Parts: sequence; C-alpha cells; structure tokens
Amino acid sequence: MLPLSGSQPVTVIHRLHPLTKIGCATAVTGLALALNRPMALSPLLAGLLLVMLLGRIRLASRLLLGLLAICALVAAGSLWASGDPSEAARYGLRLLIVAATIPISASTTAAHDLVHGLARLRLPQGLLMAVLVAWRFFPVIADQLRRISEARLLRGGHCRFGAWHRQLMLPLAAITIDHADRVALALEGRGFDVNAKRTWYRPPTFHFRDVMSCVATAAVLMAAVVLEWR
Amino acid sequence: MSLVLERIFCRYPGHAAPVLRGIDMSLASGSTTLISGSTGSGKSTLSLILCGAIPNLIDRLESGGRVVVDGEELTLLPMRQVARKVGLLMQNVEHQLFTDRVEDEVAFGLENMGVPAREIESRLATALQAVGANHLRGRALGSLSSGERQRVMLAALVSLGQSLLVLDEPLAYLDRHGTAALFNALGDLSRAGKTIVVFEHRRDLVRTAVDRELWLGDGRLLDTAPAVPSLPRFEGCASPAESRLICENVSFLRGDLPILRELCLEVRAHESVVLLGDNGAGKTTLLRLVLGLEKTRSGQISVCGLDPGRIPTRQLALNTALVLQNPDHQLFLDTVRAEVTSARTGTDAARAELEALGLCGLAERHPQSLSTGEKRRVTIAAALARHPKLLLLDEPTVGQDDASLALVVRRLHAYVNQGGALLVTTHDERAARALGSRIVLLREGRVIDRSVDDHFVLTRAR
Amino acid sequence: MSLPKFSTREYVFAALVVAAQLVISSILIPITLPLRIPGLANTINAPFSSCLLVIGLARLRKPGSMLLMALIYALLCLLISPVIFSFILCGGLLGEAVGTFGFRGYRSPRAQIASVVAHQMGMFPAAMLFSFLFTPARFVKPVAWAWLVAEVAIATTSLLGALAGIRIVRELVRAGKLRIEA
Repeated sequence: MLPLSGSQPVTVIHRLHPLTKIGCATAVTGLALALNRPMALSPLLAGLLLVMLLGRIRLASRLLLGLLAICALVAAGSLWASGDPSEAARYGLRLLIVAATIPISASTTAAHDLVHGLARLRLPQGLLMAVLVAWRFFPVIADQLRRISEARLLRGGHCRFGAWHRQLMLPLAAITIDHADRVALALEGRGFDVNAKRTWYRPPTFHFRDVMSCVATAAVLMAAVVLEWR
Repeated sequence: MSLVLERIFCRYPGHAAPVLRGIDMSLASGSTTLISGSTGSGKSTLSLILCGAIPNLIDRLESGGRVVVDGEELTLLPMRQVARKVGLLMQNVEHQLFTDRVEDEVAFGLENMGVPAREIESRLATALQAVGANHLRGRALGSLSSGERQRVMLAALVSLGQSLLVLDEPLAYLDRHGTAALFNALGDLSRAGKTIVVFEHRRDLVRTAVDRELWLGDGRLLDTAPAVPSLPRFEGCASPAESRLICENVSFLRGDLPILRELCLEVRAHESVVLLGDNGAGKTTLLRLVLGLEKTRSGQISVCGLDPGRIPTRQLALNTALVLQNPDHQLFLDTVRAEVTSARTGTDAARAELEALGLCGLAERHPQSLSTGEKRRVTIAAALARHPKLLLLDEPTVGQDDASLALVVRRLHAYVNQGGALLVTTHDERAARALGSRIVLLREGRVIDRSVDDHFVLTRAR
Repeated sequence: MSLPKFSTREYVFAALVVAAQLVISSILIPITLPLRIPGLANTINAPFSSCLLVIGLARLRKPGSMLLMALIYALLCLLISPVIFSFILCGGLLGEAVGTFGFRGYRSPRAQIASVVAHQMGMFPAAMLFSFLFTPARFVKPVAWAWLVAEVAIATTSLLGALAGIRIVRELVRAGKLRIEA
C-alpha cells in the first residue's frame, strides 16, 4: 500500500494523517451525493484528480477504462431515460467522484498507519490489531486460494457446485485455521496483550499539512456549494 | 544455569503414550544446543513448552514440569509474559511479521511491551546491529528474501532483551547461504551471552555449528544421537526411453526480473531428474511452466508430446501429476482412502499405494487430522495412484523425517523402474542424491552443472 | 466503546476469517459489479462469505462475534470508501441484533445461520438506498421491486453458503482441526 524506500517516492499525500484522508474523503463523498448541478460537482472531481496527481497515484489502464465505462453507462442510461443531459451528467459525475476517492486512501496509506490513526479514536486494542492482522495476511490467504484453485485444476477438478464448494472452501478453511493458530502464537510471543497498554513507535501525527489539506478541502466544498446555490 | 527444565511431561488427548516423558535439561548461558528428533518425537511440543505456549495458549492436553529461565519459573505465566524472557523464531517467519517495514517490525514487540517511544529507537538500532541487519533499515519487508526476513525477526526478538532464544526448524525455508548467515548471527548472539536452542531435524547441516547436540526419542532427551542415516540410493534401471518432458531454451520473466534463462532440460521414461538449487533459483517456476500454470516468455516445452501453453491444464493432468510443497492445498476429501482413490484407476491402485507408503493404518482417518509428513505421503500416494507418465514433486522433503523419507524414496525408485518419469525440485542435497539418477544444478535461472558431486558442510565461525 | 471480552486468539481468528472473505470478495465483486444488476454482486458473494462467517461464529460463539467480524471488515473498507464502510456496518449491526437478541449468542447452528443471513441481507438495503442517489426519481418504484427480488436471491444464496459452512465445521471438528469451546 504505502510506497516504501526503494520503490516510489513518498509524496505529501502519503504523509497526511490517515484520519485527514478519511475525513476529507467522507466530506467530499457526502456533499457529492447532495449536489445536483454538474457545475457544482465539477470542482469536487477536479480536486480529487489534483490529489491523485500530487500523490502520483496511477491506476492500471484496464481499471481506469472499466471505471470510465461504468460511469459512461450510468450517464448514458440516464440520458436515454430522461433526455436531460444535465441529469445524465449529474449521475455520471457522482459515480466518478465516489470512485475517485477509493484509490487515494488505499494507495497512500499503509495498514499499519491506518491502525495507528484509528488508535486515536480509542477503539479496542484487540480490534485494531485484528484489522492489522486481516490486512497483513490478506495477500497470504489470497496466495493460498490461488494455489488451492490450481491444485484443483491439476487433479482434474470439475465444476459441479457441490464439488467446487468443497474443493475450495474446505482447504481454505483448514489453511485459515492453521494460520490463525500460528499467528495467535506469534502475536502472544511478541508480547501482545489485549488488555495491556501499548505504545506506538512512529504514530502518524497531525501537522501543518493536515490543517492545510482540511482548509483546501473546505474551500473546494464551499465553492461547490456556492455553485450549487447560485 | 540459564535454562533449567525439570520433569517436563506432555500427553496429547486421545494418545496413550506421552510425547514427552519427564525431560530434564540444563543449559548454560551463551550455549547453543541442537535438539533433533524424528517427526512426531515432540520437538515442536518442547519448543512450545519453552516459549510458554503450552500450557497457557494450548491447554487441551496433559502437561507438567517446570521451566526455569535465569532463576525465574515461567511455567504458569501467560505466554506474553514469558515473551519477556524467551523468544521464539517460528519455522515460517511469515507468521510472525505484522508490519510492512523493517523498523516497524523490530519495534512491534517493544510497542506491545509498553516500551516508551523514545527508548524504542535505540533498542531497535542496537538489535539490528547485533544481527548484522543494519543494511536492511528503511526497506520494505516484502522486498526482502526469506533469509533477510528471518534476520529481521531475529533482530525483533533480540530487541526485547530475551535471554533464551528458541528456533523451531529455522532452516526449512533457507538455502545454504541463508543457513550460513543465520548461524553466523547466532554465533555472535551466543558470544554475547544469549542461550540458544535450535530444534532442527536436518542435523547434518547444523551439528558442527552448535556446542551440544541432543536427540529427542521416545519422549526422552538423549545425549547420544544416532548417526545421520543414509537414504536408499537410486540404483540404475532400464535405459531412459521416450521423452516425457522437453524444455528447449525456456526463458521466463517475473516483471523485469529474469527467473529462467534459456533453460534446456529433458526427462525421459525410466529416469529421475532432480533439480537442485537454492531458493529463488527458478525450480518451482519451471514446474509451473511445465503444467501450463504460467506462460513462457520464449522457448518451448513439450509434456508427453503436448504443449502445456496451448492445452487446458485439466487435459495435461491426465498424464502428469504434481505434488505441491504444501499438502494442505491438495487435500479436500474426508478420508485418506478417498483422497488416494482415483476414479480412473480404482480402489486396487489406491490400496497398493497406501501399502507402499505406510498409510494403511491411516486409511479411514480424515486427512486434516494427520501430521505434515503423513499428509505429504498421502498426496504422493494420490499422485502415484493416477499412474501418471510424468510425476513432478516440489520440495518433497520438507517436514519429512528420515524413516518417512526412506519410504517415499523407495516408492519413487519403484515408480521410475516401472517406466515413470520423475522430476523433483529440492534444495536438500542429501535427498537429491537419493532421489535422482541425474542431478541438475540450477542457479539464477540457468543450468550450471548436470552432475553434482560436491559436499556441503556448515561450519561455525569461531 | 467496549466489545465483549475476546482473547488474542479469538481476535486473530476473526481477523483471518475476514481476510479470507476479503480475498473472495476481491475476486467476485469486480466481475459482477460492472454488470449493474442490482444485488448480483451480493448474491454471488453471499454463499462464500456466509460459509466463512459461519465458521467464524462456530469458533467464537460469544455475543458480539458477528459485530466483531463486521467491524474488522468495515474498518478495512474505510481505506477504500466510507460508503462501503457504512454498508458493512449496517449488515453487521443487523446480524448481531439477530444473533444476540434472538439467540443470545452463537452456540447453535440455527443462530449462526440466522445471523449470517441477516448480515448479508442487511448490507444490501444500505447499498440500494445509496444507489437511489444515482437513480432518477421516476425509476424509484421499479427499483424497489428489483430490491425485493435481489434480497430474496441474497437470502437464498446466503442460506446455501451458511449450510455448507455448518457441514465444513462439523467435518473440521471431527478431524480435530477446529476446536469448539463447550
């Protein structure tokens, strides 16, 4: 998730506090759903695209095309039904804005930093650690599922639903249970205690850049509101 | 004495015999001890007792005795408190990594123990220095090799200031370079006063690097370990016949990284070829290409006359069988007998394979209730029961003790003598000599040598 | 905010069940979502998700277990979109309400199945309400019918998945792989 040393440079967007990014994304998404005029929605979209540019976030071309196709489909459907280009533009833009917020947080925030950020909300420690474990072992479980699927093919696995369910879900469940036992052992072996107070080595902190980001977001939201009600 | 074990006892539910029968042991500070034993001898159980997982985390068994480290009894303490004195390096270090970055990972345990943030940085730096991993600072864990990740974990344990380090099968995922690097680091740590206990069944690789070797057998610790048994060697059979696998100038890239470079290989009927190489040499990738799970960048592959890149994998599976490194990926039925029985060859073939691999007593057991070594034999039996023309084995020795391995080796020899073609990948040189009529050394995606006659010995830096 | 007391082991188990759910969703949802058929993504994903959730509930058994797994999933989705976070939280709250107030925990297979099906069905209305914001007013009534059909489909596939999950639990318990506390 977070580009690290030796890969891509870390940008100002990467350095923002996770709660800043989530809060701004929530505000932008919420307002986008309330606005009706395409003219008012445009600054929101432009702002998000600027953030993606600043964060050097690149989407795979296949993903980008798929996304644009969906938005175009929604807009076209609306145009066909209503005959009103403004209404079509509204729905297309809303969908684009909601979709554009997705890669911003996901690409620029490490799960560890998210958990650190959420710790400020005083969520239970066990819950935060569970979030970290789930994210950390997501690629591990994904790899296991891929191997199970290949093993099924190599044994000439057939696609009857019952067989498919058993051939995939039973090994996946067994492997997940194994991993859970070992990970719990590892976590306790590293001194983790659900009830004990825990320190944080490098917790993300709020900086001037977070304040500026919130101010900039508020300005864009204000501009959108003004354009809506003019 | 740094570590004292008194009358350690353990019995699993449903088992008549205890796995550990009153173990007594004393280890001095700064000593490095190897504890070996066959699969099921209790090595893992003992390592879990040492780190406090038994009886605190794993409590559904009968256990007793005392564990005393630096004069403090740890037996009844929760594992997270035992962790202040005893560090456990697991067989697969992936289960112990919880963050993305080297520094965060080393700091993780310190955070859990409530160490103030200002103190974490200095302890982290000292720990990385102690294990020779300073150069890994700032790196993403995902960009490190298995050996490097293990080194980071070692630093993470060292940072906690534990006086006893327990390593459970640390060589399982290491090649020879990683093994040497690990034992160099451990040598430095033991000279610094840490007590180290290594549980490892590959004694031949470790015994010269430790102060003392103990053998766990029949639930007891013995000072005298048996000599490293040799495996049955491959006796020559009929001359290799028709080609079952041909690889011509096969190249493969993962992203920009070349994995295989113009590799040429042929495996014929009545032939057993072992691909020997370190981790990352391209062995598993080659198997995946042979079965059409990946596509070559250039070159050609022919499997029993078919191009795996052009036909469905299911069709290829009619004449070939692959035994994966992790048997859990291939087990999904409810009895061993069902797993081994193939619709194509029937129950007689299954019965023969169960007998040959010592699985008759386990036939009605659920595969998920077996040990790793037993599961591996089940997957090998299931593959052989399909009477494949070409059999591919990926690291078949992991988790196997010598007795189990000898059974497998004998059966595979018979398969080859009866006309099968066998391709095995391994980094275990002893197993390679036992399994292969021809050994091919692979390094950085290239075939280096078509016969291997060198001898690998690990020596401890003194 | 306080959840019932879970041990480290239980938190980890819940986390890995969620990781497995995420893996399956990440494969199925990108395939089904572009088809723009209301409820199709949820319907296709439900049997697998439900199977895994039942395994999780069978192991955890305490009141709060469904909410725990839903919260882990929802918090991870916070990184993707606050909107998805709200869908999952809705479903989690409904599932937990059924499990805790209807059955006082998840000891029985019936409780596990009911809670999981409620959770799957509970996620969809939130998504439908959200999609009304992309739907012109003249289409709201037909969309409501589509909603009903989708909910029935989700309930059906979720039930099938939950029943498969119960079978898997029984088999894994028999194999000694999954330990169920008394």
